[in-house]
Order: sequence, then C-alpha cells, then structure tokens
Amino acid sequence: MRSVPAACCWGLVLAAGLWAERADAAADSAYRDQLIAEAEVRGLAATRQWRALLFSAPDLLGSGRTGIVDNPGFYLDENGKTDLEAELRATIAAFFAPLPADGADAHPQCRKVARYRWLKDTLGFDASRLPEHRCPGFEAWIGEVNPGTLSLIFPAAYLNNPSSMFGHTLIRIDPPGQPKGAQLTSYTIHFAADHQGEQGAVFAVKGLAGGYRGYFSLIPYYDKVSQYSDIENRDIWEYELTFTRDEISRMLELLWELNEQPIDYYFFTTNCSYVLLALINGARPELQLLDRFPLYAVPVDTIRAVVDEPGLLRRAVFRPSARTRIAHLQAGLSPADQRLALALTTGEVDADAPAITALREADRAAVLELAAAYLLYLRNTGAMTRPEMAPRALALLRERSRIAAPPADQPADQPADQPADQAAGQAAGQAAGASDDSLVRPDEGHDPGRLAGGFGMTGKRTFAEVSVRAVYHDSLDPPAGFVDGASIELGSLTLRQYGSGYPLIEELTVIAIQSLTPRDEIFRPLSWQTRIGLDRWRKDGDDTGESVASLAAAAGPAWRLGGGIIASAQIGGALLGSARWPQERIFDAGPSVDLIYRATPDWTLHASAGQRTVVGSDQVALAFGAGLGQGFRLDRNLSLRLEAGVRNDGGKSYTEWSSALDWYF
Amino acid sequence: MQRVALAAALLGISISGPALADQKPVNNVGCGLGSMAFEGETEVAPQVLAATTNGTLGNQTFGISSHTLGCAKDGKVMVPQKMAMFIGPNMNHLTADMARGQGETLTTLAYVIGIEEQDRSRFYAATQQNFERIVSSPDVTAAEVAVAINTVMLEDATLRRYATS
Repeated sequence: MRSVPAACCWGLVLAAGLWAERADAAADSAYRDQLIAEAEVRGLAATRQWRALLFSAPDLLGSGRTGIVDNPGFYLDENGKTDLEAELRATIAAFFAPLPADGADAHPQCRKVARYRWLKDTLGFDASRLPEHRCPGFEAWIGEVNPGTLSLIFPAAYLNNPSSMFGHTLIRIDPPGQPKGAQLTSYTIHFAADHQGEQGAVFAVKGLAGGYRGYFSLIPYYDKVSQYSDIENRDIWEYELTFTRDEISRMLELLWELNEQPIDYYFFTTNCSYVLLALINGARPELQLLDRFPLYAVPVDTIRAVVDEPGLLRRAVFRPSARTRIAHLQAGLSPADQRLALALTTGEVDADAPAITALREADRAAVLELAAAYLLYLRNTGAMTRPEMAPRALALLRERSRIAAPPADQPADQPADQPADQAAGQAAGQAAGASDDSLVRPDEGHDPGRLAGGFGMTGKRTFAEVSVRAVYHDSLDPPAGFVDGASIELGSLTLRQYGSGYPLIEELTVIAIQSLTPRDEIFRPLSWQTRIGLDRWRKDGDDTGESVASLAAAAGPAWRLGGGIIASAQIGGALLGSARWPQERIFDAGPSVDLIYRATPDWTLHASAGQRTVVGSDQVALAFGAGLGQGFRLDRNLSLRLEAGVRNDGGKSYTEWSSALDWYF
Repeated sequence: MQRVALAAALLGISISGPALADQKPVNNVGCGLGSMAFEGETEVAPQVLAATTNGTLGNQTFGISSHTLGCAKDGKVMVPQKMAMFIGPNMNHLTADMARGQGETLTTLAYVIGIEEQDRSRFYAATQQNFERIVSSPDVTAAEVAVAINTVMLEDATLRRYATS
C-alpha cells in the first residue's frame, strides 16, 4: 500500500491561483537565455551545490558523475542523470513555465523548490522578469515539520541477532524549543525499500541486486522507537548535529523534491544510510559526503563520516532498548527479588501478596516496575497473549502508582547525554547502571574491514599468513562499541605459505556468526553459531592438508560467570564437502565450549574446545581441537592477535600457534 | 461509554467517522484513538537473520506527508485531539510512566498538551495519584484516557488552564 502523500497538499493549491502572478505565455526568453549563459560562464553545473542538489555521486570508473535518483521524472532534461549542465539549463528554462492549471505547487519552481532557491540566490533572479510563484503545499508541509535541530539516529545491534550489527540510520528533525526528553513526537526521515511483502531469500537476493525501489517517508519518532526499542530490542544512539535551521530547511527542500521519486535500493551501496547521507549533504554541500563511499556503505560508516567532521556533532544520546532497561532494573535488585518479579509476571504471586508488601518501598517499586516491564516485553515479543497479560500488567501498575518513590531505573531509563567534546570513557563512567565500555558509541568502534599479516608454526614448521575480511567483527577484534558476545563476519579469506612452498587458501569464510547471549534470572535465550566456509584439515598434520567445505551450526546455553566472563556450551554439526567425499567425511557432530573474557577494555581472551565425530561412508573418525586466542587493542583500528592450540582433524594430533597484526579499514 | 463519547465529542475528538474507518486492529500508526493498552507489537517481530531488515518499513505507508501525527487531512489539529492521537500509539509506555510518576512518554504528553515547565511535575504527580481513574480497565481506549486526563486537569487549580472544558 503506497499512499499519494502529497495529495492533501495539492488540495490546498487552488487558493494559490488567486494571488500568483499570471504567467505570460511568451515568457521572457531573452532573460532565460541570459541566465543560462551566466550559469554556464560561472560554471555552476560543476559546483558542489549543484551536485548536491542532483544527488550526483562520482562514478566508480572514469571521471563522470551519476545521479543516484533513478526515476526519470526527477530530472528535467532527459540526460539529467549524468549530464549536470543539461539539467541546469533545463531547470532554469523550466522556471519560466506558465502557471499550470492545477496550481503553483505543480510548477517547476515548487516541485524543484531546492534548486529554485539556490539558483535564485546565486544568480539573483529579477522577479519582474521571472515571476516567482509561492508554493503553498511546500510551505504548509515545512511549517508542520518545523525544523529546529537535526539528529542522525542509529539503532544499534540487538542481542542474539548479530546480523543486526549492520544497523540502520534515519534522520530526526526536532522543532525549535522542544524540551529535553520530549522528542517522541518529532518527525523522522526514513529511507526504505518497498519490498512488497517479499521475505527471506528472495528479499535478500533482490535487495543485493537492486531489485527494489526505495522511498522516503516521514514517520513520528515514537513509531520508530517502538519498533527498535520495544519490538527489536535495539539500543538507539542519537547523534545531534550542529546544522542550523537554514541548513536543515535546505535539506527538507531537497526531500520535498524527492517525494515519490524512487531510488533503486541496494543493501550495500545505495542503502538507507547512503541515501540519507546524500540528503544531509544537501544541508551543507561543502561536506561532499557522497564522494567518500565509492564502493559500499555500511551504516555505521556513514555515521562516522558525519561525526568525523569537526564541529558537526553536538552531542550523542544513548537510548536504551526495553531489554536494556530491564537489565538495568535487574542490576539493582537481588536475585531473590528478581525471582519475585518473575513470579508476579507468571501470576504465581499477586501484586498485593505479603511477599511483595513486606518489601521496602523502593524495592517494591523496583520489583513492580521490573515485572511490568517484563510483561510488556513478553507481550511485544509475542510470548504472551493480551487477555493473559493485560489484567496482570494493570494490577502491577496500580500497585506501583500507590508508591510515590521515584522510578527505580533512573537515570539509566532517560536517554543519557554524551556531549561531543567529552572523551568516550569518561562519559561512559557517568551513566549510572551501565558497565564502562557498554557505552562506547558504535562509531567509536573499529572499522568493519580487516587486513591482517602474521606468522606462526604448525608443529615445527613455520608459516606466513595474510588475510582480508570485508566486514564486520569477531570475538578477538577490539570489543568497544560492539555487543558483547556477538560476532559476524562476511567475506574473509586467509592465505598461508609454509617455507618455500606456494601459498594456499587456508580459510575462506562466506559468513560466520556467533551469538553468545547469557541467561539470567529472567531471560533464558539460546545462544548459537553458524558458519559457511572452507577450512584446511590436516589429517596427518602435514603442510598441505586438504580443503574441506562446511556448512556448520551449533546451539546451546550461555551464562555470565564472575568477572565478565561469558561461557557457552553448545552441540552442533556440519555438512562437509571435500575431495574425499563421501568415503571419509559426509558430516560431523559434537559438543563445544567457549569462554570469552574481556580482561581489560584492550585485552580479550577467547578459549574454545570442541570434539567432533566425523562420519564418512567408509569410516568414522574422532576430531578435536582446543585453543586460546588473545586480542590486544593497540589503537582504534589496530590490534595484535595471538592464537595457540592443539588440533586433531581425524588422524594425527598437532600443535599450532600464530600471531598477526590486524589493521581495520 | 455514552458519557465518554459525549465528553470526547466536546473535546473535539472524533471517535467515529472516516478517521477510524481504515484503522487496523493493532494500530501504532496514525490516530489510534481506539487503541487499547497492552496491545503488543508482535506482527512486526524481528527475523532471526535480519541483515535484511536494514531498510524495510513493515506495513507502514511510504511518502513524506507530514500528517502522520495528526491523521488530519487538512486544517490545524487541536490540542485535545493531538493529545488523544499521541496517546493511542503510546499507551503502553504512557500507562507505565503515569504509574511511576515520570518518564519520557509522560514528558512528551505534557509537551503535546502545552504544559509549562513549572507545572510539569504537578502534572506528573496528578496522573500518578489518579492512575486508577485514568486507566480504569485493561480495555481502556486512548480516547477514554485522554478524556480522563482532561478531567483530572480540570480538577486541579493549577492544571486547569491546560484543560479543555
């Protein structure tokens, strides 16, 4: 369902005809030619401003530029997508068009309101020779949006769903004078694919190939908060930028021009974040934001592009998800009280039961709030029906309303401010209830690409290794700014060379995900991991071994032990493919354990051990491996990695260690 | 219910008519005057492999029309109506905030009503103390909550001036 959003606005247009000057059919063609000539002499088509107005991005090959808007209707010249000069001439000429029968809002001056304003300011239009038309539809619209400040909104990864680490970005426009903590009614600008209800693999393939159209929409912020905080349980980072009202108005003019203009949607290139960058670039064309992403754009990169601009970030605000708020509430309560809250949600204990009324007032308030929040969580995640949940939730809230004590999760429940000039570490320390590094902003984490070089030994033979990874994060990469226990890698390749031999593919990962989400008194999530890739198995412990393709998955519980250690025990299996298929191996299965310990913010240890029964048509073998990996963060985009272990791939056991320097890009 | 409908009519909240005609059973977009608390949001539950959720919009409407908040096709949206429209999609958090006596949703509601800073804590306290009247049953609707909050404000000497009588 796609509405015709401007329809209500066009309705207002009739009034415009009353005062708009009657356009002369024989427009001042001499003046038109004069303006076009002046624009050409001054080279306006090659300016950053004009490029920003046309969303023109540099081509990957060659020196040309192409507009990212695909709908021909966006351009006034048939070659406007690539020919910036032709589009400029056509635009100026169009401004002289007579007033359309359906009112000024359909006139090019109003449809191309951003271009008109810039060209009018730059060329100094003479209103007596180029009659100006007021645009009531646009004016009503921008008056309603009422721009004061602009924030870039980044919903971070959600627990137990590492693929969400790629994130998403949207823009929020707050009206001037809006009090702090009342941003829910602000409008957000959202760019999304119209996927027509398609899901799963079809959606993924078409999304990657640009098979969908993307459109902008304007949505109240509470709606997005509800989606991200309550349904998907993602924390949100809000980056308030220092754009002026005028600059934000420039951007909104551009958005107005884009209304209903589809842009082909590609997950990795012209995705939501890239297109929003194009829009922001319109607020301040000097930033040339589009010129920085020739190949692909991961949402957090686009946040960085903006944040790295000196003086552009005013403050960052952390908005905890429903799940994070529950964790804060839990952190303030004893295990016994947490169990009491759980009993309230299941109905085993009533809100006015002695076990509850006997609690100290502040604890009672906290227990009731935790129970009510958890009930809502269950409701929003579909785990509980409304008839079951609603009377219980209301009874809890009624009890709570009788206690005057302040909310239990203050101040963590309110979005936490982080002024731009404050060091991340200090700011994190000030936010009550959150552990120190959980409040490192996502843009302060390492970059998603990784290039590594190192050496090591298999038994007594040395090797050299290089590897490259497209995206994103694994358990030994510097953890600041990422979700604890979550890792996802796409497109990684490792080449290894022993002595004077030639380099061989040691490892190839198409996709690898590990999600370790600890259980606690209330939550009992299942942790899991999966990988599609190619590994080298050394059955006899020799150099070459053989390449084995595998499609692996495992699942099991995880717990948080003392000192921030996450431990997980899982059972899993893999389908295997290699030259010795099916005789030696068809599949394997077995248990594994993982321990991840963040000893310091700069030092992570990951111990793992696993045993697998490898089954082939002719034989069954036992394989195992145990190892310890360590990551040392040297700088935001530099780390040192040491790994050592013992392996047996179904034959001889051998030891292996390696060291590598990782550089992130 | 009759009385609520009458009070709602007096406040300029239309609880029938075209605005409600295309309302979905679970409505977190648009007017939502008939929305009830604890509706849940399950129909947009996240997928396990959500790399692809990057840019989907669920079942919402595309387009940049700015009237999403008001649901009104033209004209200025009056405060009581704005209040009810805000309450609809925010019922769950609003009830929790009123029970606790503060919170972001309650702050935003105060802003929507136009309550000045010095009177806000009084407003928060009033909604907490009158919680049981405002959220009278698990099936209370947004329009009913709006009417009840208006009544609570009318009874308060300070908050009275923000109420519609």
